[in-house]
Amino acid sequence: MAEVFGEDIVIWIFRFILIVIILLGVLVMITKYYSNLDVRPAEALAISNRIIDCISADGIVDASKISKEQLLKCTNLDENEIYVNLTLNSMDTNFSKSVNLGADLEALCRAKEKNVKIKAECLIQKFYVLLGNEKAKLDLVVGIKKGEKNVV
Amino acid sequence: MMSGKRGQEELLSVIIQLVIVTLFLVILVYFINSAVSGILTKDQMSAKSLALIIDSAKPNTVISITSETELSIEGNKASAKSDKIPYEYDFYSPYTFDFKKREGGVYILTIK
Repeated sequence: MAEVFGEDIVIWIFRFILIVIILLGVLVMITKYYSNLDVRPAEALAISNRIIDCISADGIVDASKISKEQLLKCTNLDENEIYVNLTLNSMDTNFSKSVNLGADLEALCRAKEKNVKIKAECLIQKFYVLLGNEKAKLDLVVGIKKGEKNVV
Repeated sequence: MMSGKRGQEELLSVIIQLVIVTLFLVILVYFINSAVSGILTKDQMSAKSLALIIDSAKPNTVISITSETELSIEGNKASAKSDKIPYEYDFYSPYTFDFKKREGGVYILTIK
């Protein structure tokens, strides 16, 4: 046995190291690829639905509910991880109201709309609603960081 | 005689190499299978599912959840534990709720 290894020992070591490197490489890639499930799109949709339910009833928006306090009351959001921008514009009058909550991801979310790769997940939605008897447009942006637990 | 002995040694060398390579391949296939079938991310999947269920649920809802992992809720974190280290994920529901475990890995979540 000693002779067998004695003659081919250098080739053996190289082969062994090569196999180990390939194996480790494959394992690391698989682990990284499968280690995090990104649920932020579903999470953003859930937050968006909750906000819409909170500020409106049957498609009629209550403008007095478009406030930071109301958003916090509706969603209990972590302001370090989640960004919400809610903008209501009347289509019949000049009435406009906007509220921001959390770390500002607006610019990043708008950049993502133009296919710029960023680590935050964004959901940008537009709703046509009623504001009393007026027609209005509601823009909602929900941005979620939470990269550590969702991004590979 | 010499060439026969040399042949035996080479055969033995090749067999040992084959055994080692096969062993590595088996480990690799087992690991890939575990990763693809979700065994590696079972806790993560359970905790995130529970957090999303809570985030999406409306008040006065009762939800029955069946899970192989140990689920729990502490504060605003949903957690799942099948081994030693639990996996936790935040949720943002403003509602209060009851979370009770029943037999057979069934959990009852009541949103109030």
